[in-house]
Amino acid sequence: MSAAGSWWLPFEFERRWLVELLAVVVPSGADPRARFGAADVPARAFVDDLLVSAPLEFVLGLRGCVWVLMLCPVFCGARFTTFLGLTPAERLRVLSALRESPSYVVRELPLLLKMVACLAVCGLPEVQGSLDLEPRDATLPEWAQGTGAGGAP
Amino acid sequence: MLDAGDVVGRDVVDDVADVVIVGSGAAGATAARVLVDAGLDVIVLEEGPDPRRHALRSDMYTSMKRTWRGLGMQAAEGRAFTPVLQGRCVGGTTFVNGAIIHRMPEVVHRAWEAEHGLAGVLPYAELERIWDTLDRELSVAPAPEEVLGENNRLLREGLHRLGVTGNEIRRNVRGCRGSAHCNQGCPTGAKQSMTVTYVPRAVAGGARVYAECEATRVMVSGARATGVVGRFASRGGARGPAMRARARRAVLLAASAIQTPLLLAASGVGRRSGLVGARLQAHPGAGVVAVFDRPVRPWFGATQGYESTHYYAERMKFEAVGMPLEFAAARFPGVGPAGMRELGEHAHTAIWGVQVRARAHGSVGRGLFGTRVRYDMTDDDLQVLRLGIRRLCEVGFAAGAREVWPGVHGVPEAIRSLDELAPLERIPPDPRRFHCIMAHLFGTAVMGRHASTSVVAPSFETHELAGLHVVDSSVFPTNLGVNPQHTICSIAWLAAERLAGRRAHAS
Repeated sequence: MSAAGSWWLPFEFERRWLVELLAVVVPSGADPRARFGAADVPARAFVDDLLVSAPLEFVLGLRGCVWVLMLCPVFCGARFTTFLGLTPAERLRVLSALRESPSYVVRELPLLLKMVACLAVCGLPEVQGSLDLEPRDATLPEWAQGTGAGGAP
Repeated sequence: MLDAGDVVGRDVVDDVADVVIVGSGAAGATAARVLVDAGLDVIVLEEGPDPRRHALRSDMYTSMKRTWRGLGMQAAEGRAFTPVLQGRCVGGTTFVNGAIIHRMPEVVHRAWEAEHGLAGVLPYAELERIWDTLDRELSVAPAPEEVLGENNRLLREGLHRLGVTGNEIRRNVRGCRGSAHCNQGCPTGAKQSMTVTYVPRAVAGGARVYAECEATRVMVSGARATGVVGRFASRGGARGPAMRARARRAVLLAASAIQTPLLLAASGVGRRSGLVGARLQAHPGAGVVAVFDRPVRPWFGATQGYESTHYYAERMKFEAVGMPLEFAAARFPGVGPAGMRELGEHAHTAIWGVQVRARAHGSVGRGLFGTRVRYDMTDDDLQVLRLGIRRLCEVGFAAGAREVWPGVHGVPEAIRSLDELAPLERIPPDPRRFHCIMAHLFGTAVMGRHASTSVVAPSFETHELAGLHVVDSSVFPTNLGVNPQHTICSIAWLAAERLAGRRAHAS
């Protein structure tokens, strides 16, 4: 089911939030062997493509995930800021707390974002090349074409 | 072969043949191959695209978008959300599966005969004859050593050290180069999926395959199925034309245990028994990651090249799983920098899965947002899963793993010895503790002798509508405990032979 032009598509600010959240769950430069994170790839282009391709339930779930994560400092930490307003160390503490939550839905939230981020990051030839994978594609996937992302190294 | 791009601008595509088949996967393509060989005129409707019209890519997202149902995001609802993996393209799931071939276990066949009223309906000797032919035509053979790769070898090594039997998997491949890309569609064409075997063979014999054409309803005249109505996918914003495929002799549903019951229900079939879409069975499974000091390089080797059915009687089966990087990275437990450190270990990781012959029954129907699959493993199934995960952790350490990532909530994300696995024993049987996927789906239009207790008669014709046959795993009374492609093919073959009235000639 295509979601193109439909009411359930996220607003512009939600997409920006999502892109920034992806960069938190799959960060750049955290490990010398896996140096590419979501901030190094055209994650916005990926998000836009995903949102018009994924089933409606998935898109709605992803939007809900973004809102819960963004507002969790307000409801869980009594802080009047969003998740992205926290310091990097605080963000990691929140992510860790979510992962340990007794609530199944809550602890799955970061994993849903991570899955989306991994689909974007790990499918790029440059990233696969940095992890020594072979074979890998000689060209960029369609969603990344024209974004200036790296191709085969 | 035509797809939506070939019929742009038309209002209706009208065609007629002896037999109309819905679905081009293991069941539909096999039925088409047999019927065409028997001299019948055949139409095949396939909802998904023909993957051979695009260059194959190794990135998982593109592959999921083109060839997986619901972008791979389809999930069963229960206490947990469980991804339901299905191909959606010409060739169906055979295009994206791990190419694992098993014959139906005799113990399952005996149970179908003794407990499900199918004595004499699917003679085992007949199935063996068909399996022999399938083996030849689909190049089935054990995975050779040169393409096994370390992921498979380490599973073998660990099992061997524990005295657990295992074997190189029999696979339908010809000239596999160990690309570990089965889930994206084989980049070298080595996998003998329906996409490259029986579909082209049927087309060469005169079958018309309409891709990107979703069947929406069975046409009925009186009390007889006379064809299938469908619609082609939209192209360039324009609605696709309607499809009217008329059948002179029969309509065969081979659209999988999810889509076949939906089509039956949409066509008003199955109300008498109330069993259409009920009794969904599956093989849920979960993966364990073992991390080694030595390089594993999991991107080389047969995607699934080694397995163990040692504990089959305990309803579990182990398999090596050559997971695409994207899936592996998502499966690694950490988030943030911890997850990136784990991704940095990718070259040293082996991933193995336990597949459970579950007793749970789920259901398939229409929900608010479209298809709704409901499924919850029973407590008993979850205990089998937990034991399987424990055993795979033992295999990991026996193979020399430095640490193992069990992937169970409430158990440390990384364990360095079996002592650290102690919390697993205290984990309650709750699916929300595990990360499972569902593959191999059965039983949603079950076969039986009585219209009150089954949907499909032993002749494969539905009890309620003459001329409408179901030939896929929807008719299975139970799951198998092993990978079902060969069994699905053989049963579709048998159904098609009976319909054609004579045996097809084996090539």
